[in-house]
Amino acid sequence: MGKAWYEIIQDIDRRIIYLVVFLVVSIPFFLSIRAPMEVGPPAQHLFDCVENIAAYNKTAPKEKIVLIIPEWDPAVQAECKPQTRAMMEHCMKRGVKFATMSWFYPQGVELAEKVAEECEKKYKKKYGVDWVSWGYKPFSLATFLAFIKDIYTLVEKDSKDTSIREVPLMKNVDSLRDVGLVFYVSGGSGIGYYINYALPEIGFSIGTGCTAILGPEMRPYLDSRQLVGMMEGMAGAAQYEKLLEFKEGRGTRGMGSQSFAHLWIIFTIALGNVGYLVHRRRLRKAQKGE
Amino acid sequence: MSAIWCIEGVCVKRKKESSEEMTELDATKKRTEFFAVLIIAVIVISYSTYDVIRASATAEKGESLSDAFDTLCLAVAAVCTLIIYSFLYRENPFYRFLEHVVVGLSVGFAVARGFTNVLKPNWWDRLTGAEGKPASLWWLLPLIPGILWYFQLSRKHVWLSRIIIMFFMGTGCGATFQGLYQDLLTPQVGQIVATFKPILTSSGGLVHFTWDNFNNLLFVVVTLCVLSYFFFSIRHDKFPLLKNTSSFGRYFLMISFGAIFGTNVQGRMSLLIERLNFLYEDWLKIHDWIPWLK
Amino acid sequence: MRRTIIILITFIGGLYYFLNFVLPQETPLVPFLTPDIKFSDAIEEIGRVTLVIGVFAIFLGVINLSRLHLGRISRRRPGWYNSVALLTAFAAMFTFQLLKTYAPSEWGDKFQSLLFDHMYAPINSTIMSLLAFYMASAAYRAFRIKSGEAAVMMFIALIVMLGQIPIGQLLTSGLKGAEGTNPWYSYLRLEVVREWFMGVWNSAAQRGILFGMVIGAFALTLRIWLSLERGSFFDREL
Repeated sequence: MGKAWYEIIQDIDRRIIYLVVFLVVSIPFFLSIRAPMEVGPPAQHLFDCVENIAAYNKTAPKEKIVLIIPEWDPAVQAECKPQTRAMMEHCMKRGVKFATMSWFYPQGVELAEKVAEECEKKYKKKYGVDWVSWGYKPFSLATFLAFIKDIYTLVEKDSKDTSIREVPLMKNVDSLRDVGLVFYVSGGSGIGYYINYALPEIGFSIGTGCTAILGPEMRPYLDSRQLVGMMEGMAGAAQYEKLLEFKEGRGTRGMGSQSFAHLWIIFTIALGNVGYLVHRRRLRKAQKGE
Repeated sequence: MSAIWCIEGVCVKRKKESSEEMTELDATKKRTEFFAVLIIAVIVISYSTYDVIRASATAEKGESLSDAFDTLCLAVAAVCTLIIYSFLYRENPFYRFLEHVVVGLSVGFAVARGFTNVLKPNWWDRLTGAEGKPASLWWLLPLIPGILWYFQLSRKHVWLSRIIIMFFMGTGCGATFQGLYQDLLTPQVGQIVATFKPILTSSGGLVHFTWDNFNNLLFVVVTLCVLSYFFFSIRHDKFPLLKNTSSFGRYFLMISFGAIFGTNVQGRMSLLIERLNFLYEDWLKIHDWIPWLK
Repeated sequence: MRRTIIILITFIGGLYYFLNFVLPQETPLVPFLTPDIKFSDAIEEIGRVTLVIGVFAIFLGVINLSRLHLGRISRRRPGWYNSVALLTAFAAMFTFQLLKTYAPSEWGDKFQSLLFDHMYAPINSTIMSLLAFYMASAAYRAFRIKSGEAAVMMFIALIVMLGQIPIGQLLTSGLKGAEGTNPWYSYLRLEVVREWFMGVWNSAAQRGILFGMVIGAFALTLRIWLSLERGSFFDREL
């Protein structure tokens, strides 16, 4: 006896599902689908924070810098790389200097340096003057607490092995109090260290670029204003790129495929549930009939 | 008896026939898979060879070898990507091979970075007086606790490694108190402090209930219901108030889990989109040969 | 005796940081003897020393890995060639990474880039991207509305999924008011509803979960610091 249609639609071979996912996500690449993105409050507040730092730097005797912490590895670069790039491009576009370092992922700072090198060509900026990389420092709470007190205990050389005191950008940076915004990009939850240990002591602003999966967990910190703003996944990067008036950012380009993928997931869930509900109803009818 | 034997004979014959069919099916399947892999491999290698030769031919003077190597690297990355995706069809020796390669690469990278970024500048240079730092034999002392890690490898003296492990656990614990306290109770912004939200607004001597006040009240109610769901010191069935709030708490948790699922979908799909972006745009360069994408 | 030593060292390890947190900022390191050196001034040196001691463990992983895979190669276990690949990849990456730092050259950097940017990074990203397929398959097979709670979860997941994509936002774009105005129906747009659920409902529920987590972490931290914790690791014979 063959299967009923509601049993078939509940039991499609997983390789067919994989193939359709592959096709559905691939189609927008060949059709070049672009759709406008609405900007949400978290991305807007983060953008405004950097704009405020740029405005402050114009009149202040001592400039503030942005500290970008790329705590990501190639596994999550799909979301974190566009976020890092969007922030670096914003800083370079507005003339805000930035430093970059990582604690948990040595690959993070190396990948972020490559992004910064691509951006510096676009905006004609120079390493050491407009941005600097403090390199990778293995994390331990002891060293982090020491770093909060005095960055020069930990950061003696930059990632190019130059003495940090000789880097022109660092002449204006005495401590973490000269950092206006810490932008923490990560697929993990190490931002807690900055929120719990550094923020009460230093009082700078903290923003985050997190993977979409971590977005809901970061919301309580956004609500309590411990985080000033957030880029949530690739969509967050796309929103930020819209604010920067980029048409072809990596985040924006991915949103067409995201849309198709989400619609397909909704369809498969609906399909599975229709089959399940019809099956359950017929079983109950059959049981009542007995 | 004979009927059973006959029936069995028929059954045995049918099983034998079906197992022969299965073996034939398996052989056909294996042949099909082999030819499919061969065709894909030929296409990929042909395209990569063409791409490398084209890069070499169109490069500037003196740069042809460098450009050809860069294009070869792209091809290597694409082949690695396709081999990993072959796991979706079925596990295979090529996937296993790359799995081992990536473990070796990541350990090599981590060890090299640990040496160049920490051990050399913070310990070796200070011990030997290199890079302008004053030499100090005091830096031999960290070697003693450092060597304790390696007693993990000895069955008889493994307890010595416990000393250094528990020292670091103790350090972490001592420092964590500050983090936990400040997470909840930092003035104005700690999590507990921030939960005390205004549920009425007063202005001009009058009291208003605005949309923000409604959201604040909702926030407080949801937080309390969720907390009551996790409160196990009192039996829920004996206190109707706790029972009702905890059942509401369960529904509110489902709202949160639905949000997590929704963002999970976005996160996972982003990973796939990035890889396909690499394959289509960086490797296959579809913008160069599809007219409407140029 | 061994257990006592370990208990004491665990306690001493955490003592400085605990005291650094609870004592006032002006407390001297040793009362009456070092009035100019504050208790918190020692944190820098302690941090540097603990970092160095911690990094010595890095070679432990290498030794373990080498023992395991060299054993497989010498005994010609099935798949021994994979172990050869692992050790070769480790040696190559270690060598080229050191060369990049201490003796950079054009072709040395190119080979390092081949290993890191064109093998390690793509393989890592692709393995993670397999989750997209598994998640699609799992959502299709396992997400069934069997109860009221599942229905709530499904509804919210639908709103969140549609509200974060441009096509979803396009569905309710007609509800936008004129430029600079916010009529009541503009709050029914998918992205606004999504933001409301995420910012109020989800945020409140996550905060409740966070409170429980932090209190549990506090209790566990205290137990480990005072060596009161029990379990397979802590009760092991020394």
